Amino acid sequence: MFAYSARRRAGGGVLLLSLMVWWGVAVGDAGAELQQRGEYVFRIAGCKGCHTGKEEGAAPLAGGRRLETPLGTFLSPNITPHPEHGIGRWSLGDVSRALRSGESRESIHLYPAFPYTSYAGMVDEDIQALMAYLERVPKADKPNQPHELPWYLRYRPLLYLWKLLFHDPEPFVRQAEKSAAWNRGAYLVNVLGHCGECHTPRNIFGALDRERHLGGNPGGIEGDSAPNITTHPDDGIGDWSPGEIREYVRSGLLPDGDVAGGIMAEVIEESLEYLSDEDIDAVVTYLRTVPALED
Amino acid sequence: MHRWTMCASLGVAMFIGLTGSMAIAAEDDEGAIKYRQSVMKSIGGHTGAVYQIVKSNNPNKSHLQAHARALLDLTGMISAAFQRQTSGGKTRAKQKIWTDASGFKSAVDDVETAAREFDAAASSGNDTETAKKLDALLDTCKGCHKEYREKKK
Repeated sequence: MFAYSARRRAGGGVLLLSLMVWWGVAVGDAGAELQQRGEYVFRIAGCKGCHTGKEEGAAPLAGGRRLETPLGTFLSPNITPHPEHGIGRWSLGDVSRALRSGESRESIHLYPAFPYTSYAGMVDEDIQALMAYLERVPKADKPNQPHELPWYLRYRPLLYLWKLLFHDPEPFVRQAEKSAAWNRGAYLVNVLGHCGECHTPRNIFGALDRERHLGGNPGGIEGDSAPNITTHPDDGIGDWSPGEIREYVRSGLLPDGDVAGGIMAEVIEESLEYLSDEDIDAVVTYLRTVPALED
Repeated sequence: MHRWTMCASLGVAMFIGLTGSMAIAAEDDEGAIKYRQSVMKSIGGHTGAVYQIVKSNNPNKSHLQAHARALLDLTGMISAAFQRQTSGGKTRAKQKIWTDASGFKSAVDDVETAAREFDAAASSGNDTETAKKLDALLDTCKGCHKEYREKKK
């Protein structure tokens, strides 16, 4: 009797241990997968470029990058997990709110230099993955610096009105009649990659002129103009072959043999180079359908 | 000769000399800009042709080595073409080329090295290696343009 009970207990113990190991491996795999997805989202969303200073040896994601725009100079914040200067105390909900509604954990309205006007369409899984990745980057003990803006733009509550007028925090909507590649491309171009933030012109209030989507922006950031990337054959990229668009996204090579420079070279190096082949094809599929606009 | 005539003659001579030398200097800057732009456009022309052969299945594969050699020769001219510091003029060259001369030299050295490796790969006939070295060459072009060239206005 005793021997039987001992065998049962031993058997139960082995089963419990096996379940614990299985659970640990499964959770570990899921965590690693989430972080891997998070790193991909982080790359394609271009977080590093804007949130890292340009000076030699600048701590990654510690902020301080100067974004010179026609409205003034914005200094990006620290998004490392530092509890005081970064987003170490932010919950997933706080990050979601910043990305979708342009509001900080402290309910401060954020300037749209942070492209929540595009990120608002991010799917929950991508935000969760991004958060999982950002939680594990090294903390940087670097305080945020104030933006350098004219006095009339420093009053943040006005951003509430700006958002009422110009920000639509709707999630990305798949178009059922379009292919999966087209929908993925639209999501990458318009949401994660936020291409329109530079390539779409803005009105006098600094809001995107959605009727001229990707139609080019002579007053881009840091003095760089952003060209028309609609399918217009002369003013846009309508005469580029799919292979030429693919090559430009991947390496920066233009069909005439020139090679990208300025901000776009940075975007390619920090972000687009990391696109999977499947996602590059999706981007090409979508870009070849963007309505043509003249300059 | 009257004293005032001599003074006037001297003044006219100085004026002609000064304006003449200014014109020559301006012409030199303009010429330097046009020359380096021509060199860079030539590099772009060959790079565009190489892309069509290496990645877009253009049938003129027998031209590849000539393009690769031209790129090697032309990238070797970049340093000399940008030696003269210009200010103003119709150019997208940033002043950083001359204020950060060692950085620019290092970036151009990278381009030359990548062009040499691309030339070797093109001569080897190994398509995979050639495509890989083309990518590496494009990376160095991008690196230089990012730091030392203004974007189109």
